[in-house]
Amino acid sequence: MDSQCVSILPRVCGVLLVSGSSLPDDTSLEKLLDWFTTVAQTGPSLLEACPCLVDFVSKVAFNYASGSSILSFTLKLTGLIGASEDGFKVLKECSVLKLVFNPQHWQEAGLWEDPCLRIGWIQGLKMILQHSEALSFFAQADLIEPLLQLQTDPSLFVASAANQTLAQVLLLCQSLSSVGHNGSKNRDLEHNSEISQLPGSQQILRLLAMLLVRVGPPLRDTLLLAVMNSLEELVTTSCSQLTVPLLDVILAANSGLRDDCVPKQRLIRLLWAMLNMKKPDDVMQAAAAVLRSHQSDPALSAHSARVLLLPLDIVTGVSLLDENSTGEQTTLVCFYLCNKCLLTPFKSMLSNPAEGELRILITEQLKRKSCISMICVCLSNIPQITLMASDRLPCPQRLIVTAVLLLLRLCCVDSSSSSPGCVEVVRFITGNSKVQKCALEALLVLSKSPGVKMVLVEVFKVLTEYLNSPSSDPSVLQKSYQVVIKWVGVCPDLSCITDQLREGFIQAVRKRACDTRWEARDSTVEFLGHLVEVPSCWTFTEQETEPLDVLLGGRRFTVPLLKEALQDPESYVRASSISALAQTLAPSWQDGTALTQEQEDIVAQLQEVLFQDSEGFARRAAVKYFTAWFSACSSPSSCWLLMQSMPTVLSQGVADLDWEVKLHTLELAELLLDRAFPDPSPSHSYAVMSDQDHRLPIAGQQSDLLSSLKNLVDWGVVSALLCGVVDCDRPVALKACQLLLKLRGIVCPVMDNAADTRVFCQLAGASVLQQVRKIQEIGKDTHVVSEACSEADEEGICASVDPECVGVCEVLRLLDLDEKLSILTQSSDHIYNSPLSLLQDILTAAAASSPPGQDSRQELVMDCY
Amino acid sequence: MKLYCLSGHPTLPCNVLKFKSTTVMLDCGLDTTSVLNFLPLPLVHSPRLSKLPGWVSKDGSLNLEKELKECAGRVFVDSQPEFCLPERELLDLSTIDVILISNYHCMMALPYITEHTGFTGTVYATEPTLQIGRLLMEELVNFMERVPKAQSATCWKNKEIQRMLPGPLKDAVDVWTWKRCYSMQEVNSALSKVQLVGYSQKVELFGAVQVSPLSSGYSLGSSNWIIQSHHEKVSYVSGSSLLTTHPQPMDQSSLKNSDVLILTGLTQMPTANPDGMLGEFCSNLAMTIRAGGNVLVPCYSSGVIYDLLECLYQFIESANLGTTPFYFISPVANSSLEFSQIFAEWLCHNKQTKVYLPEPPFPHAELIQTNKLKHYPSIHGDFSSEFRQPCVVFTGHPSLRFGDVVHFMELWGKSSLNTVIFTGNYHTDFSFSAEFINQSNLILKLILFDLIFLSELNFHQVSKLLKEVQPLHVVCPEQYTQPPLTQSHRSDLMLELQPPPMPYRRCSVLNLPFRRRYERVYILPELANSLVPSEVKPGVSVATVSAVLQSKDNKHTLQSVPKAPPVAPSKKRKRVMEEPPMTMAPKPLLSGAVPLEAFLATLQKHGITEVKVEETADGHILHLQAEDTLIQLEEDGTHIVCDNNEPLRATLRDLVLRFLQKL
Repeated sequence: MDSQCVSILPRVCGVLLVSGSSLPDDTSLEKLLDWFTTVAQTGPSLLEACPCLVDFVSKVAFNYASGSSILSFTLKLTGLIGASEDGFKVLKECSVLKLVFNPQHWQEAGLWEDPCLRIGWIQGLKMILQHSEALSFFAQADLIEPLLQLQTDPSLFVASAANQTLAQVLLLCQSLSSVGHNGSKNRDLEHNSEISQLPGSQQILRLLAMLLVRVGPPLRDTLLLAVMNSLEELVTTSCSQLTVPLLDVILAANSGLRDDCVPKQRLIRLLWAMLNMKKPDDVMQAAAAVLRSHQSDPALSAHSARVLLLPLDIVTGVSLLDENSTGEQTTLVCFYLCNKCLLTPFKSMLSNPAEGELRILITEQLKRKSCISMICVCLSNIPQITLMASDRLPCPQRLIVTAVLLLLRLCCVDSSSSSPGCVEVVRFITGNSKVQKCALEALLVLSKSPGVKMVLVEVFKVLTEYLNSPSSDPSVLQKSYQVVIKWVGVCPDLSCITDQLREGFIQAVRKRACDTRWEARDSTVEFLGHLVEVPSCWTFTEQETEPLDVLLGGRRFTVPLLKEALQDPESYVRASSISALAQTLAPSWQDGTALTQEQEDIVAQLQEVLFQDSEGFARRAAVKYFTAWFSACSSPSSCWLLMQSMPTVLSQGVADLDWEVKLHTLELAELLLDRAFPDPSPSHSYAVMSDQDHRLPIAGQQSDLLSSLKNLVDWGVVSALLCGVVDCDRPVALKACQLLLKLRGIVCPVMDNAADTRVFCQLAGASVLQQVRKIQEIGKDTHVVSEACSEADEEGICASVDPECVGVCEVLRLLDLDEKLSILTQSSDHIYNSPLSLLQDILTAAAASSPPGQDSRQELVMDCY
Repeated sequence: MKLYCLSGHPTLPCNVLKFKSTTVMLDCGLDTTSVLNFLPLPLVHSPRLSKLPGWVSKDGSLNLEKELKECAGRVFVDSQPEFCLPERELLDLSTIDVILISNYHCMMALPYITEHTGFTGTVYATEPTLQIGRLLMEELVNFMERVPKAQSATCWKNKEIQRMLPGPLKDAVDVWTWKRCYSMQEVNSALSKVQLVGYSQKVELFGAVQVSPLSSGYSLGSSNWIIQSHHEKVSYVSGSSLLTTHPQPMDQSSLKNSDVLILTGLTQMPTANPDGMLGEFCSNLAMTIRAGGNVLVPCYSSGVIYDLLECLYQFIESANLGTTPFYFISPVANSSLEFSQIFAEWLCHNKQTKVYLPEPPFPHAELIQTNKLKHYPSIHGDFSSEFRQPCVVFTGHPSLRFGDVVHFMELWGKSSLNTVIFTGNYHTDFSFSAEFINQSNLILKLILFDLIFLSELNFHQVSKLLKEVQPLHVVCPEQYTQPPLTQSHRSDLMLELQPPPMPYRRCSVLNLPFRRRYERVYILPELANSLVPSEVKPGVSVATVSAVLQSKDNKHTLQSVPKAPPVAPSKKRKRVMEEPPMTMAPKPLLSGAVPLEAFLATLQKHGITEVKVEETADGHILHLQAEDTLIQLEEDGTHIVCDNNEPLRATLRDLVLRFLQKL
């Protein structure tokens, strides 16, 4: 701990005692407490480090006049001190502990009413409860009673904190149970079971859930036994508000139990009871929770799946829940979908009468507006259902796909399909983008199901319909594109996509590329890029085909669209189109195919973007395009256009206003650097290069390095790095600094200062040059650099005729890169966040708030805001 | 109260309301769907159309080569297009007192009604409706007259022959009543009968009813109408819109408390998302232009086109369409664009405020200024020298049968790069245009948009509107009471109300389901002065009135009874006619109830002691056993049944009267 802080701390305590209200800002107490916590955690003991704190605590405890925030802070601080056994002893000895944690004390002072104080009390108590001493103090002082009362506190924060503290008490009991504190434990349990009989107590249920997850077997069993009856009672009264917390408790209890124990069976019965509640919403919630918790009971999860699929079954009329649904029926439904003819609805014959009742209830609910949330619950749980073993599923997964597809059709505004299911629901779900998105999400997951490839054409048709529909929300369009990518990616054979389907799809995509909403255009452009990355597939004639070719007829369709999008008025779309172009052209870069005129045009356009685009997104994407090109290219040096554009990109990129553009530019520079000096050992990391590695100058090595360095200078890498290192944006300067260090590590040990090996570099921009010169001056003044070196500088840096030219090696040696790196790695606010600064702030604020400084403090506040 | 329905077209209505002693025609829309059976009228010679083969029946027995031409398996009449007029046999049109026009689209049949039928009444419309309506009529006449067809086909209309014709011709109804377009002279004569009204202006019709137009948000100057007497209110809702487009917003609150609401002009297009549709319009347009194709937008020369141009104004720059020319071709293009800018008071608030800046309310002024939008009266003349492709053309008529649009269909129909974007009404304009393109072997791309929704209420909005307005009864075209044929599962695309709406179709006569119960009667001050009200219960006072009821111009007044002139001293008999009506003081009216206990006590005082009281459904029966008399005390009457004992009856009567109040 900083000695300066220790010396200031007593004064700060004094200030807090006297003028607690005049704090610089309301978070400073929190910050102070945080600092104490770190001190306690890292150092030997808080009291050892700051002995003045005990005095402070005892003084505050008797000083009612302190503000409630100070009191609350003190309570927490007491807890922090008492958390260690030594601190606890000290506190006990000066009899502060009893006083501070006595609610009576605060009640008499009339301060208990303040929730701020109560929460301090609870949190202090929670912190202190770390060891057996504290637990016995807790039991002796009879604090359980007030703590239990606080569970029903009007303040939510207080109630929740009380809950957590109670859990802490129980957990501590558990860990110390061998030591023997059964007295307090049992009493606590009694209280718990007693209170959980009160209906409507959500807090208790939350506490229980929290405890059941964390406690170990002996205590858990006792706890379960104690509360089981109350739980059963609560389930039978079935209050909708309690459904979720009840489920949490039951599932938490259930998760750790062995199958054969008695409470487990009672819990399973409880879950069954919850799955048979009166209100469809509750039942759906229960079923969803059961599925999510991955119950081991097969019957239970199978039933939950049935419950969750019920709305889908009813709405679409596809009988998902028929006990003997067979392949034959699937074909029937597919036939129905393909031909859109009306078959007589085949309703499932229900074997379960309770399910029949639920079906009726859900059907009723589906006729109301609230059907939307119910259908969404159903759809959003389909992923869980598909995870189940196929023998537990009520129907084959492809039937679920069929139902989801039919639902999507019903939701589509322009679709004229009707369902054999519930007709009334159509008016609510048609055009509802929430349902559409949920259904598309479900379809996304269902692409993984076995045996669904046969419906690919149907999926494709529905998605085309969505892409075509004028009323599709942009978010729905985006989801549709994702689903296309997913399905195309998992389907090995795309030969089923006919020319007609393709034509329709192309029209839809083309239209969306001209959409008035930029979100739609953006998703379209992104889709074009992603589609390239979908792996190739084989047609049944064993020919390898790219999905892009099958769906859109290949690059000759997408590239013109993307080029058009480069002119888009919305910067996001421009950025996306640049990324998509990079994705689209990547394969041709890898193959090293000759450049086309089109590509040259694109490069020209991208350079224009770098120079002229007003938005950062597009410029970032443009730099990334070149990065992608360079990294994809098998031999960049042979690609004249790429290498030709490098100096422009680097110089423009590093001078950008946007720090991310600059950073991306430096990443490109890094690639070039790596390429110029290929790494001999694959395991090396750049920043920690040891000079040893390059200490042995071989004549050939030197000339190689020289030519590489010259290349780097020609490409503009060095000047970009030198620009970057003096950048005002810390991440940029840091990156440049790291790269320069790397360069120095490679170059400087090998290159001597012989005149014929000097490489000069042009520094554009006066500020950069000035900085370098300044550093150079300082270097001279302080004689940090060796005599020989500075002589070399005389000649090296200044000898060149062009005042903007600098010698690379000399600059690298001259710049104190190591010091720069250490400064840059610290976060920019490290000074302002130090504890010393916090303490000083408190002192200054107090000084300012004393009468003569009143005005100046107000001024300060004005300044801050 | 009766409603005569002369048109079956839901968005081009023509109804007649008989209300009190007035006969009011509500709109007179012209059903143009009949022109579908005719060949298009090309502006320049079309080899394709002129080479079509004539139609001869399969067995050769029927030869109408001159009148009927065959094209792609369908038969068209080769004659000047004819329109199906509102029904004229249902009632004598000369009895119509007034015609109320709700918007310029719903007045196109006006010359057929006002001319040559003996019509002597007045037509009421707002100023923009009249002016733009005149433009549309002028345009229609111009379209027809500039390509005159000497021939007028009539043989095919022969019932016997029509029966043997194929396709839709066979099923066309009332073909004998179809009429050719009117002349400019008839238009002028018809429009001279129009009297201008402003929103919420009250117009008295013969003192019987009051009519008043309300803003309907559909188009410039469009209105809904309220027809009301003192105690009854009928609302007529024609084309209305709740969307914020260019016209003044719809006035909904004034429609409240209607006894009957007549609802027409709804759109049955399922989508309710206008932004999506407008966006789609723009994307399709941009897509076609980018691919090097031309875009044809058949449309009316006023109305939705203003909104389209405004939408495109914002879109052109962002879609890089800055260099693409936009053409608007119509004989009235210039006037239409200019007129839209001068009716500021009829525009929505947003546009009204622009006028004070001062700026033109519609941005198409700027499009014209910057030469992005050019307008021409016809494809002849300047247009042909400045025509550049690819381009976007707005022109009429949406039926694709006449007007400049025919030329562009011939010109661009053969390339699939070109697109025709329909912005008309989904159920009428579209279906026939789509059919036309399919059946004319044209391969250009067809896109259908119900952009008319911009100016028409959809079902969602209507149910909201009705919930707020709460009319007692709703009358609507029968199409609205069932889902559209193509989407039979969409129960949300129909009107479901309690009580169910009364559907009408062409030639229906509906007895509107409410009785007139009250009539307002005025009372003269001096008569009112003479009344002496007496309080029957707290807050309610009653007086009897003796007066003379005078009815004149549907106004009823109570006047004092003239005093009998002093009997002339001469014994000469006066003429009977001048004798004043006999005045007799009316008997006093009784009110109140007879309290049983008190009455029994009174009877006892008068020596009647043996009373048996029997309770009945309406009151009590008292049996005076000694006197063998019955007294029935009921809520609205008291009977004393007493045989041959007049003194007793009189006593009893007086006793009863003691408890009652006299007026």
